[in-house]
Amino acid sequence: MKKDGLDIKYLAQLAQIHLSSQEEKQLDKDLQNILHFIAIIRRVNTKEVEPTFQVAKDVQMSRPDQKEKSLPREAALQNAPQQKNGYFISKPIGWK
Amino acid sequence: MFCGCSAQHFRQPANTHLCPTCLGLPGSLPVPNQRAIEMTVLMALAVKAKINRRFFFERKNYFYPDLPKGYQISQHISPIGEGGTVPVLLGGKYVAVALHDIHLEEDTAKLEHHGDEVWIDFNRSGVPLVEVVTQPVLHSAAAAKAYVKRIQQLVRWLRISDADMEKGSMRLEANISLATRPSDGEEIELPSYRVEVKNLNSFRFLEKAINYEIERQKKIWQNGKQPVQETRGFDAQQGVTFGQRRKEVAKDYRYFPDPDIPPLELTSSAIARLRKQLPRLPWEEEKMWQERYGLDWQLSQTLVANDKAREFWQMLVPWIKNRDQAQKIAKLIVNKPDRWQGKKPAKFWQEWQKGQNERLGGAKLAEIVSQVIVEETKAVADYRRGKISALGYLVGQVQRLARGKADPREAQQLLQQELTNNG
Repeated sequence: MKKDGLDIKYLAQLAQIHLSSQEEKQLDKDLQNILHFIAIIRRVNTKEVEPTFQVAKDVQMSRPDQKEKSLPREAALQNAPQQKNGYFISKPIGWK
Repeated sequence: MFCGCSAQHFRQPANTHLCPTCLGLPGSLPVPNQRAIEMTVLMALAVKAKINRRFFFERKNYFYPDLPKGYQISQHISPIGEGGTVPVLLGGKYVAVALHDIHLEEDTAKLEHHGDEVWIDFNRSGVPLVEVVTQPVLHSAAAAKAYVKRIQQLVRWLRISDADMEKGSMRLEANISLATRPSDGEEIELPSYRVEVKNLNSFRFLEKAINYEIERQKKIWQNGKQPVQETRGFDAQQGVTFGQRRKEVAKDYRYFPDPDIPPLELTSSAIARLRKQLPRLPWEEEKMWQERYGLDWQLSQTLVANDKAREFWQMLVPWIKNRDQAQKIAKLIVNKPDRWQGKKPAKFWQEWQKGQNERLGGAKLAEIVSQVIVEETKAVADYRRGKISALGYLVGQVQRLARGKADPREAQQLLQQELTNNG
């Protein structure tokens, strides 16, 4: 963990991606830039401004509790990189 | 939860309840299910939680094969219910277990591990899931077990779910950490770590996992170290927990409001309508029988917790005339199910009353009482020396000779008479 709170290795672990040391350096630089940008935005006085979570004016409509037709299994699985016996197959993902 | 796929996922062919929304395909939009929201509100009302009239859903980001989208739609800073308490009977009295929140989210996929492959069935992913989170107020495995049993009872009572753990429609997660026992009157200082044991699918496993963790963590502390914050699984066969992954902290999930689902609003009339739907709650009914008939808490709880017993009891209640009858009937229903199961309440009541009338009394009872006084010299002497509790023992002896047919009150009166008169 660095003094500015950025820990590229930890972030990579959260995202389950492998980074070469070259990529780590590059990403570190990019993220520092983003943080710098955010820091500038934070200087704007937003005291009187409500946070904007979304831009739609209305509140969300809900759906009635009714069953609808699901996709045929073949269709659901058609884009799976790997499948077997009707299951999607993935590599195990875990933290080291 | 956010699409129209069936929520029945138990023993269904894998990946047959899927649509673009629950698969997280590009261009699909989640729309929350009204009934799921109402049921969560109902649950929150039952435990007197504060209802967030305006709430929204957030994305909880983590990368794991059980999520098709890379995030789970959940709630974090605006759960539907906040706070509230669940009354649980512990050691003979009601304890109010304080809740942190009640929130609504989509369930995740079911994974099967086959060697170095993970088989994913997304049927369960997208099914509405209510999470009930307590404050760190439970201090033993037994207390945790009593609490989760209460939650299961409540969920069934309110017809929210069958809460069947074998079907995966109720799952338990325990967060366990050890703190130094505070001196009297002082608050427990919470330790800076917690170990989460996930996906426990029975009350017994919950109890075992907690007790195992207490011992494991105790050893670590005794070696001068602090246990690490992590997520652990429970191996039911070995009865042990095992490390799975370092546990994320809240900020690692990068929660943010789901831009696809604008905030929702509950009108006061909608809340009032739901409040009206709330039935008398289990603990209210337990108290009602305790107060009306003097049933002890254990009896009352067992009676209310068992659907069939409760139903039978309720049908008998109109005929019950006094506390004595009520206590006898309640005990019989709870302890001797074979005496009433399959019977019509009216017929049962008739027979029971007949049996009551056949009770031993009068001369026959007086005879037994005299016999007991003659035989039980020690208890008699004790009683005469002022040891009142000896009377209970003597009543028991009368009952033994009368094969349980004696009227306990009459027996006691007769004994007292005899013991004072002929002292």
